[in-house]
Amino acid sequence: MIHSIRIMGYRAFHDFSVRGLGRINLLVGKNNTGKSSVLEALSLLWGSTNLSALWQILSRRGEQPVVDIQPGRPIQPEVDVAHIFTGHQVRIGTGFSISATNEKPGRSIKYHLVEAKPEENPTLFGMLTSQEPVGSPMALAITVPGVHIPPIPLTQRGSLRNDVYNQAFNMMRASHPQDETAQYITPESLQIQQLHQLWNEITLKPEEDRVVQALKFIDPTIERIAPVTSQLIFGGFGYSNIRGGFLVRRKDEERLPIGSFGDGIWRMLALAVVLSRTRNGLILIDEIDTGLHHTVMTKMWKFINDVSKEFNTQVFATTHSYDCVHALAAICSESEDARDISIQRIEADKKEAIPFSESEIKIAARQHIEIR
Amino acid sequence: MSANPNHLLVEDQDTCGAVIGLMRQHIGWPDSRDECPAFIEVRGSSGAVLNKKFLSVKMKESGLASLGLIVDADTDFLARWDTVKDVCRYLGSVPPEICPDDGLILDIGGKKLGVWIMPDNKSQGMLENFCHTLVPPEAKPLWEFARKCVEKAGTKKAPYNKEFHTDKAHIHTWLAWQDPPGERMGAAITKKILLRGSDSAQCFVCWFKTLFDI
Repeated sequence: MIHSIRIMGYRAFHDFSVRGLGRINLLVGKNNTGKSSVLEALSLLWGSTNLSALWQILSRRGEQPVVDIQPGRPIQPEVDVAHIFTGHQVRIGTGFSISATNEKPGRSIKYHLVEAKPEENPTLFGMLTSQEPVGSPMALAITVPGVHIPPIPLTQRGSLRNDVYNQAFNMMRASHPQDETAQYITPESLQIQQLHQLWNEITLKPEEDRVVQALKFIDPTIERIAPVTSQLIFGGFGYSNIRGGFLVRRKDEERLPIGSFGDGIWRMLALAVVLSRTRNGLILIDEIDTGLHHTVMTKMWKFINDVSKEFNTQVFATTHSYDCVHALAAICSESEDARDISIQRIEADKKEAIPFSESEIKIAARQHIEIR
Repeated sequence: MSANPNHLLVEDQDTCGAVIGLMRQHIGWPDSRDECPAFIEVRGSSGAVLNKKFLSVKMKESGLASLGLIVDADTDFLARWDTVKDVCRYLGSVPPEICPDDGLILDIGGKKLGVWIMPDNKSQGMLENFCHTLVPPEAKPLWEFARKCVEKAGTKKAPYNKEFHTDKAHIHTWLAWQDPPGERMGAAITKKILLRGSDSAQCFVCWFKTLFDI
């Protein structure tokens, strides 16, 4: 369990700490204060030897360089690393570090830019220079205590190229056991393929019933849900890959595609599947209230509380919703010693998040104190 | 909840009205709660205004710049001041040993906390005693007559609490004989039945303007 985190040099955070964390943590604050950046920092820290987190962050945000397409030259997706550093500068010495400051054993990770030395990793440099006109001057070094990760060369544009990064990822996977990445649920929830993969792990287990239980918060007549793959087959032929892949049956009705239901069902499905399948892990949920009516918020929090306690998972979520904050108070304890749940307000240019303990969340809800 | 960065907590509706009545005469008071000089919340009692746990969360309220507290000293000024000091310490500040005559203003973590103890930050009493100081000098004979009437009513089994509420009965008796009669204290200030420019009023206005950066 991460009790506090310190972020230095990542995106807008020069030096920022979040303390007093519990098992469930709700991050609030105005737009552009860095709530999602805290979730990203946690995902980088948690899966420190799993290099996929960085690629997912940059591609999710669409932080890609503008690349001229030249006829005859193979196209490789790239992501621009400049934006993960405070000041958006790509130069030797630039870096960021993230650490959990009071967890034992400690957990930390550092990303920084170093001078490229091809002899340190000839395979990756060879891949890069085969397509780049001139050798790359810089590499991205990732430092995790007790693990050797060779620096990954960058293009001249300061970007990571997909093939090079994948190769680095594969080399890392071959040489070192992989940390499980944190489960990151975006405001758009999960894609069908991701949900299917997770569903495979819970299929015909009691966790399936938990998912149905959660869907009933929104529609009490739902009795069963099951994945179907046919839509994936047609995914490349103009079918959306954003929503679908499941059939739902309500009491006394024929089965229906999940797309026939509202946004709330799709959101709750992602939350319930991830929560039911994760053990001893970290779950990050951006804009948790997306698509959910305020009347289901309390049930949702109770579900998250019960499941995260049972499976020993730590949950971080963000919201702008007053109802979401208010509903969380319903599962908080009056006791001043209760530390299972926290709300953290992120404010621009502050060095620390403003924490609210369980009893303080109760007071704020009862007295209508605005803590978002 | 209000987007106003200035919040003022008071015990009762009368204090709320008196503050608005007084400040409207000095700096204006738009009706919009986000645009008025401070968003006023009536808490119901001095204990509710000075609730430590509530205040510790209130001081962390989003967007809050300054928080003012107005409480009555009631019958024991020093006891009320001790409570205020205790609250300040709980909130992480070091209050002065003696309450400043012109009201307390502290910086706590970059936010201002102000406390005004009615009537004058040194005497026992309440809002009504503060308003007594706003009675115009030419009204003193009628004021004296009202005092005698209140005393006499007491001998005729008037049920008001003689120990705590004589001053309250006194000003409301006097207000009952003004034109228009029976105005509440806030309206009496607005209608210039009570003086807005007395020394006490000036001191309070100064505290209010300093606290809320007006």
